[in-house]
Amino acid sequence: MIAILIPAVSYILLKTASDHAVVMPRKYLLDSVVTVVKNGKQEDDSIWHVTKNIRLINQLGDTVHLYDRQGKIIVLNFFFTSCRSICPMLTHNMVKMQQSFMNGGEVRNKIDTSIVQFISMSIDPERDSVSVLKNYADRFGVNPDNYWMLTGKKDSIYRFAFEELKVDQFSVEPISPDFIHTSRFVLLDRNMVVRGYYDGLDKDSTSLSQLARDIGLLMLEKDKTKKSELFLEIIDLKWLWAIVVLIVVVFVVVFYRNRNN
Amino acid sequence: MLEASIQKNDKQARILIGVFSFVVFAAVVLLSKFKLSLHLGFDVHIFAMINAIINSIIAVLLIAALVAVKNKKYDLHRKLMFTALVLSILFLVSYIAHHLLAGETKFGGEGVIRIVYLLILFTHIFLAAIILPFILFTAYRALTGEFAAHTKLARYTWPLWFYVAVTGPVVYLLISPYYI
Repeated sequence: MIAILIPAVSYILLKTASDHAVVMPRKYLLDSVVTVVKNGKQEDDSIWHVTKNIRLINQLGDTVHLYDRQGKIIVLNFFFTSCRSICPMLTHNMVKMQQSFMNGGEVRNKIDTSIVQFISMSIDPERDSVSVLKNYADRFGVNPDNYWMLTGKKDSIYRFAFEELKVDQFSVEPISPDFIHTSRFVLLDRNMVVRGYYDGLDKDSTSLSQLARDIGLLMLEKDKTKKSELFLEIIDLKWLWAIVVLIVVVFVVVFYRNRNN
Repeated sequence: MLEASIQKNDKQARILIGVFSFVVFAAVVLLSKFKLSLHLGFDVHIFAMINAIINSIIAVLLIAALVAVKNKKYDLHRKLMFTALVLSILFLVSYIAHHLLAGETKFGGEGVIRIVYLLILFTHIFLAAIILPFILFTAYRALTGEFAAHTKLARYTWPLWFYVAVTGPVVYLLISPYYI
């Protein structure tokens, strides 16, 4: 009785206490709702918009694809180097965030910080050439390993901003379709789904700490599209299972033969 | 090579492993003095069979893990060893259950077989009693990423553990005809 009661009570206590303790960042961009039949039951399944790939050039002059960083969490914003108003602050905040994820934690115990990729896309790509971006990046101390400053075709960057990231969604201030001057940081999860928009200027001084928290949560988020790999390899070991079954059969046979005598 | 998954803290590890090993040892010794006379509606010696099965599987896992690590499949090695450790916990539970419910059984054989049985039994019990801290320390050296120290220690732990895992089912096969 006690042996059942103690674990059961502990489980219920822990479950009620922890269920609402963590709020995962929500998903924003709904593509459609499909009805699927799962195990004989009809279920509605939301299809969230998966950001499409884009090919651009980074501050080192390398051609890079967004999907080069698949499986990583992406923080993305828009800027241009000749901007005097908000962009320096945005870049500064981005670099600060990059550094805080670099330095975080104990050396031995740390989570892999390279799991976050920072991206700033130029909205004035004609003037922001690779060398201009490089100069700008160096001035802010950008580490190019996981922070790209990207330039490329202007129309593909703008299409990406409006159609893939929908930077104008839920925005109070209108964003001009000819000039994406927004202070937003967009957060993408490992599956390239938009998981949040944050004020990169941090005017209310909570949005960036919220962003940092959400990055941490997304790092730990269970990837439902991937099967757990922990025991996958063991399950694959067919000969091992054959031996295990053999052992079980042998001992069961020995057991019953002994008991019947 | 794999990365370290816990932080190195030898002092704390020594204390934890020492306390845990002692508690398990004491629990087994103390509980073996008691016998519960319950009528459970099933044959309590089924726990002995489960013990033998678990031990045999651990022996197979130990071989598989050794082969894996010699072939530099470190990830597989780790998974196999984790499985062996989890099975050891199940074994402990089943072992205590069996001793609580069934008590002791006298070996009915005579002559050479009796000497062989007692020899195996006593070495098995003795090594089983001291193996736990060895296993935990070896696992600790692996978790902290000190693989040189892990290998060195495993050279002793593996044969000891393997001997215990193999002799367990052998003892079962020898004694099981005399279960009442």
